[in-house]
Amino acid sequence: MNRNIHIKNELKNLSSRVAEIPVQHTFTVPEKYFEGLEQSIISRIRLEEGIISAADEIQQLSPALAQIIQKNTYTVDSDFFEKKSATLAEISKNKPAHVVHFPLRKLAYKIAIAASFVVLVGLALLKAYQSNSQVDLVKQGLALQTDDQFNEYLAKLDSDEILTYLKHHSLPSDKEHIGSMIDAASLPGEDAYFDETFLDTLLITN
Amino acid sequence: MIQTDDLVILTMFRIPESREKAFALIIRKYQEKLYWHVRRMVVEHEDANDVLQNVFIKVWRSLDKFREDSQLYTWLYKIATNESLTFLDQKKKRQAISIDGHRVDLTDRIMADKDFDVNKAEWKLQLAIQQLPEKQRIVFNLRYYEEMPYATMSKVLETTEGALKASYHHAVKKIEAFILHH
Repeated sequence: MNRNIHIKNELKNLSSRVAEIPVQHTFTVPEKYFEGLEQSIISRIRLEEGIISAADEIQQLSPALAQIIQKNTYTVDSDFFEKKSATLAEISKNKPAHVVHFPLRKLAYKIAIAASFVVLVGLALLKAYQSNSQVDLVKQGLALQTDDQFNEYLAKLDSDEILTYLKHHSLPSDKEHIGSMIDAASLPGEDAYFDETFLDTLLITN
Repeated sequence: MIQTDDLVILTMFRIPESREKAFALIIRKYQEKLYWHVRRMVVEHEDANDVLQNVFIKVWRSLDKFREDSQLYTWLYKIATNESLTFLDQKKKRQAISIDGHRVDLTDRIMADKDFDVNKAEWKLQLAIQQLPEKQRIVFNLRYYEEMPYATMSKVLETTEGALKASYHHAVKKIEAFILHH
């Protein structure tokens, strides 16, 4: 080992005894260790980064196993594959293969049928929900089916509530019907409309 | 300043297509030097191999962040030194909590080496080095075996050159005393 003269002198000045000791590696390294280190580290990096090939994987798992030459231990007759191909060619020539078609249209039909089914089920569910709401309304109406019950319910309502309801919900035919029920002769003259006392009395009595 | 060939390797590393190739070049160039540096600290080959692999994995992960105003060589030595010290600390802790309580130190490992010969000066030197405090041991190894300049060592160990010279001086004197008495 060629020593740096400056460092050698420095050591000699500090201790001639230590400087006399030959500078060498006392420890040993397994044979070909440095030859395989690079591959071992690269394989580990690939493994950690998820970019590992089968060869790297076996190198990482067992370097000894990776050294074994990848070779089939079983044997076949030298002309096995040629014979096999010839036999298969002969069979296919004598008996044509039955081809089963799988047209893409069938898939489209299946999707269309499935979609229709989903739509139908959806509509049925919606209809059922709506009918349930209507059934509730009918039930409420039936609850007031007799005149007595209707009158009793009406008596509970405030006059303002009734007026508001009629303003917003009465039809022209209702107005005509009410008009036909009134005898015009029984109504006071136009002058009386401006007499507030008269009007109040009229409204109270009627 | 960084060496030209290291600069080429680092440029290659930044190109995704040549990244792995560049890293293989770094391993090839520095593996032996770093191995011996680590081996002298942890003594056993299996441990040195584990530490060295971890060093290169760390280098791979952080080489993008490496600043080119320092030397790649210095940076690698710094990582290798820190990894070795961390490994030794962890090993000490593991031994401290081991069930049988039997603690095997680095001197025992040296004496267990198949080539160990107590009559040979170089093996005596190995035993003497193990008696040194951690910092002196690293300084002695880097100066004696690696012939590392104090300026470079100062960057690796983040210590002043004066302190490193003093450490080396003390280390040599302790080694001399050990050899004379054994």
